[in-house]
Amino acid sequence: MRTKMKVLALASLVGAAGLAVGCHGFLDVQNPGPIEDTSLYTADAVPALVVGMSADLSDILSFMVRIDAIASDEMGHGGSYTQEGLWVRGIIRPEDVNDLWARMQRIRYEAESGVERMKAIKGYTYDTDANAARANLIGGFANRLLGESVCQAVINDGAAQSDTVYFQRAEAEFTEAIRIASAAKSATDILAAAYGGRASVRAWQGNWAGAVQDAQQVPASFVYNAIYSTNSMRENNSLVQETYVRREFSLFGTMWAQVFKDPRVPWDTIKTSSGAIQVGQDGKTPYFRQAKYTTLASNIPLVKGTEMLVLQAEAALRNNDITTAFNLINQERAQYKMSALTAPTDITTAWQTLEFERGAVVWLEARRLWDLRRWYVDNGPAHNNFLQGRDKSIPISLAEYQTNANLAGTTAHECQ
Amino acid sequence: MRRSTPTRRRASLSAVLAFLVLAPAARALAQSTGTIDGTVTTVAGGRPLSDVQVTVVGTTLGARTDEQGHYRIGGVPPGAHQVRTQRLGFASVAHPVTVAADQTATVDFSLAEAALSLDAVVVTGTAAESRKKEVGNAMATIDMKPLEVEPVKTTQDILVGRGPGITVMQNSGQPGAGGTVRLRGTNSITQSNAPIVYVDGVRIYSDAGPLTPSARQSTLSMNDIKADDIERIEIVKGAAATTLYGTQASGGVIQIFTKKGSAGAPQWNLDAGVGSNFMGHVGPSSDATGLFMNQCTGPNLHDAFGNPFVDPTCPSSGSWLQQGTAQRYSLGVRGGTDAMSYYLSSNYDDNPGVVRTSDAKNGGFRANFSFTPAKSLLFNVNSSYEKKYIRWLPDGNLANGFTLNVMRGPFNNFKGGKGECANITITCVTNAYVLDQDIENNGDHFISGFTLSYSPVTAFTNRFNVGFDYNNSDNKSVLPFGFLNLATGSINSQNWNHTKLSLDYAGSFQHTLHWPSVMSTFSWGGQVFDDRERYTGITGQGFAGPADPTLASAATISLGVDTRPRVVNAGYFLQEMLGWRDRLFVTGGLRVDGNSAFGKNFGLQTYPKISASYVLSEEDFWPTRLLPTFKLRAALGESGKAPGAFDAVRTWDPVSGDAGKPGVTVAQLGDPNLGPERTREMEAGFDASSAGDWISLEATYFHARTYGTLIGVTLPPSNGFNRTQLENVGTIQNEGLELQLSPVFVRRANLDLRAHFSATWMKSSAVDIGGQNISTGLGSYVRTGMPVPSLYGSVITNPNDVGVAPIVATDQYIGPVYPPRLLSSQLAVSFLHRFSADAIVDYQGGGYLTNFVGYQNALRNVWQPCYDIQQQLKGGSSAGITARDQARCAIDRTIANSDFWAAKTDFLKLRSISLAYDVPERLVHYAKSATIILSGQNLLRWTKYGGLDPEANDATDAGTGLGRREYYQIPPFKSVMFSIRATL
Repeated sequence: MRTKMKVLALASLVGAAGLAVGCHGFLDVQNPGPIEDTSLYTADAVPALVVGMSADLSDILSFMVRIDAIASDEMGHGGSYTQEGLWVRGIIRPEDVNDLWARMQRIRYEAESGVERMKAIKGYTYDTDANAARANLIGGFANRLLGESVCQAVINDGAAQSDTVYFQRAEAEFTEAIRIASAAKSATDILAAAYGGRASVRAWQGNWAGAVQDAQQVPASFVYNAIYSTNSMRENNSLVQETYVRREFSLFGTMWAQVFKDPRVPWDTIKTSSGAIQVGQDGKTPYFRQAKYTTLASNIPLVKGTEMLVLQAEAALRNNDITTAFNLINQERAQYKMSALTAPTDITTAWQTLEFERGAVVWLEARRLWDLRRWYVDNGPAHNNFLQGRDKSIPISLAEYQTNANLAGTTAHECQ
Repeated sequence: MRRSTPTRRRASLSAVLAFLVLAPAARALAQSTGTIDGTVTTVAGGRPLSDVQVTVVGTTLGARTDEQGHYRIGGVPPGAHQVRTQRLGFASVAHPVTVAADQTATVDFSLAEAALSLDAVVVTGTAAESRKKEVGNAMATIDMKPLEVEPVKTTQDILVGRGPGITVMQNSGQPGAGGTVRLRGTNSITQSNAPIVYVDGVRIYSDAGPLTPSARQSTLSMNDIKADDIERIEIVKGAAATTLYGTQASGGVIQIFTKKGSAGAPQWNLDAGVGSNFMGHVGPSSDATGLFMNQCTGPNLHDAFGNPFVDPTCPSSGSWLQQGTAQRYSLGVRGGTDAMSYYLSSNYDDNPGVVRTSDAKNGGFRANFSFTPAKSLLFNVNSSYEKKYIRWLPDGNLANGFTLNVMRGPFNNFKGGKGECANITITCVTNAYVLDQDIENNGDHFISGFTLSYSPVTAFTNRFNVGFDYNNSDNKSVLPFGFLNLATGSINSQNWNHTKLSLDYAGSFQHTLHWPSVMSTFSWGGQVFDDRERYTGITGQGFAGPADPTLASAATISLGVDTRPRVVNAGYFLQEMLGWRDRLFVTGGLRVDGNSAFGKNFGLQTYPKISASYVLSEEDFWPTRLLPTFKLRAALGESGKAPGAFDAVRTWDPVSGDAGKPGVTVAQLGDPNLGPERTREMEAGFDASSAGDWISLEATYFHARTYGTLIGVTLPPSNGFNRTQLENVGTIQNEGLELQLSPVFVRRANLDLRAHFSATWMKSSAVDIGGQNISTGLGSYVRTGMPVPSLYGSVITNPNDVGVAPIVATDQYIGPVYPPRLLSSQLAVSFLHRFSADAIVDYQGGGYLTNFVGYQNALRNVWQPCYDIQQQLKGGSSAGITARDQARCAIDRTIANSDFWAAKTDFLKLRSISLAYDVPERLVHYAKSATIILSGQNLLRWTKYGGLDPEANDATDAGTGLGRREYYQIPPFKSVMFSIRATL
């Protein structure tokens, strides 16, 4: 009996072991959803890679628009978010920008690594495909956004560098986009946008002549947008979420709250049923609502012909050519069906007008903080003192300091 | 619930049909066998003892005593047998009996109470059924019989205060919301710390359910097991005890055993109760309005500076709070023949909240069948289905939250109403419109398990189980058309479905070695668990009209999430236990696991264990008169936690862009070497009882270290991957001391007074976390040398200095997030033969929580304790005001900081109290017995914590992190219930 039981026990044990071995195949699970990196090295994957880049550029841009806006007096606060409460006061700390920094770096990485991936795909027509041109274009916009928003550059966990590095990379990428788009079919918009993008980053590097040359390639009515949609929440313009679904950011108290009936700076108020003006999410601040983006699918411009006109106007003013500058400004105003301005006689007034006009043209497009920053350091008539005593831009994030070996020993600091 | 009735009827019909088909076969098998019957009574008083498990040793044959203490076991093969009794709280007794064919042998038992019964059979953490004396680790067993008079509503309620090392935190006062359950604290930084849960051998989903967005709470699936259906619960708490469960078991194991049938006529049990849920005062005691919840009208509605406001939508009672009428019903029947038995039950609960719209209803049924076609063979089929409906209160950190808007007084988001404020010149809020939201959860939970037990001889056992756990949750949040703050409305619909299929085999073989007095028990087995989850979330905006909307009603629809991960874990174990003279037991075991989430290069994970127990009191030299029972025990073992489904692989996520075109975005960097984290735990302790079983003491010291801790390593963001990557890089530890003392103060026929005290001290710390400061959310961090996790932030270094400005130090250690000290006591008294009373008091100490209600309200000048201070500060004076109060009540927003509102959460709560009366039989008609019970929950609370409730947590804010914070959660309500239990 005992022997029989031992045999049975052994058989059971062997059976259990067999079950365990037989079940080994169970562990090979193919999960739906995420896509393995290796499967993207194919020409068929290129469109999705580029759409993904576009989506992530839009994702960070609608976020950056509101951060840039409250840090540069385009909008005020009036909401309940803690960090925004600091940014509106000009306090932009490394510990508060981890997400912003990471998302800006993500789109830069996606575009730049995407271009390298495309070059490595056998049989892919990189030099003539509009997708390749667009990938370079998006890389240029990503680097321009970084260059205009941060005060120090870090590339791929390298050491801290001058923020101009981003403009240099952007210029190279816009140039590559121009090269490919010129050879590609159906890439007219990409070509114009690349000229517009390169015009701006050339200007920011001091190459105003080159900037004007590029700007002239962009039609006055041209607009190239970051795309938003109600197709999915991720594609929403998040500024609309924060200003129409919630009431986080109000124009109340900003210089733009004194601007009425300007189609470039639309805003409104809403009233409660008792007739009072609705207040912001903080329950106190009168709610002056931006009306430039009114739906979750409202696109945000990346390049506009009107911006190119004020860019050329600024180039003219830098040569003290007020007449040419106001001629260009009035061309820009005509695009918005606004009356022409009379050119002032003094350069200081001309600059004040130019800065207002540029501010109105690129209002809520995440460009203002950079403009204020470059005008702040200008010792001439272009000087703008708004950033006095405030942080000038977004610093390297605390997470980058804490994880990047090349920044070890460097103290995280704000951009003052 | 009316709609579920046909379902129940069909299931019941199936059960009856199965019974009718199988019963004749069972009767045929029962021929040419004998029967054993008898009565089980108590030594003290000779009272009949129900629910005693009587088994024929070495067979699968057994029965359970009824309310009169009777049992009957049929189909017993002729010959000599041992018949043994088992019931928690009583010493096990075995009697010999000789059975003749077609004859009935009678064996009566008289059982003595045992504060500590080492012969009790347990199964959790052991490969096969084992006596408690053989187990080298601490183990808690909860017998549900005494709890029948307590007001336990959920499984979570049952665990509160039942033993050391068990932490239960009630996150919210929302009916239906699940709590946080921890066994021996925190052993993982990134993975779930929830224990795994088995029901009748079937592993079920044990983490929190999906978050309901606008309720900001989730359900807990173990709460779907109805208390009335549970017979006992076994709990093993650490890796030393859970090795055989392998991956996922380092958070401990809770094993729930539901009731079974027994041979005999059908015995019906009815439980019906009705009661009231109510709140009492909310918030600071100095605030007469209870943060405008208790009072929403009258002269007290003003801010710190006397600015008044009104709410014309305040109910006519003058309060937003109301009493909710709770109902609870269950009906069960058990019975069967010698070869087949059944337990069938159904239940219905309605547990309304204290605000008009909130409510939780659930109903379901259970069908457990046992079939013994031969003495060596036993089939068990256990199935349950529970349907729940929760109407949540919009709550927590939510702009449209009811609690948030009411408590913020004049600074809320619902002003003006729809004409109510037309002629009112002061601030006019209209909070009734918040309740127009419809936030629902419809859940289904089905568990079914088939178990085959085969024991050809006593020494050789086999058990095979196939289990299936099905969880489905439909969450819906609707802002209806015409909603005050979004006139065109919106809908958020989520469907979450989790299934777990399990195959489980375990065998054991016991034999005597050649070396005399040494018994060997060798066990082996294997398990496969297949988890599949489907989670889809869709949002729609803009309705054309006021009809009850579906997603199709919305003008625009956005897909928020659609995930379908699958994880498979397969493993096997081997275990050898050597027992010397039935008093010294040494057990060694090994578990080997593979998991689909392990990295490609990782391979299999092995978890070893070794344990020993020594029943010293069975030695001749032991002073048994002083300490009749004394067992030393020690265990060392490992178990683990697996990473998530995609953590090991470099992936890109599909996204849409360019208005609906397919795109990809970087997701996970991946780590091909990724494996589970391993928790190695050592525990040692003793179990002892005094002479006469007047007192028992169990003490355990444990020390656990988690190696290869899965930590989300933050990569340099400039590399483009902005998600953390799980890596096996850290070591954390957790140690503690657990004590359980169970004294019997009085044991007389007309007075019985006894208590259970349990105490736990825990100390966790991060030993090595790869040089990182790991954020675990909501201001909590894991930092080297500090408790896991700890709250950090800005603190006032001169809090009690009067009249001077606060001095702030940033990034300071504040304290542990989870309470490291637990104390609980249960006092039970029986008197005058028919009365019994029970109370549970629970203390949790040493934890910290940020009172965001105080912070946000003080910012808006509507935190009553700050009123006088803010008036004075507004006048420019800080004389007589402490630095802490200046900081907390600051008018200047640049001074205000939520960190200043972090506070100790030490509390003492009267969790439950009950009084029961056994109705004399002469007064009971149509029933064998009846008990009337008056009970209460959460009736008293003592705490210095200044927020709404020290256990509150916004589950959405917390996410999957370890951090907790209170953010306008409605606090737990009180309840009283009158109920009747009857046996028919």
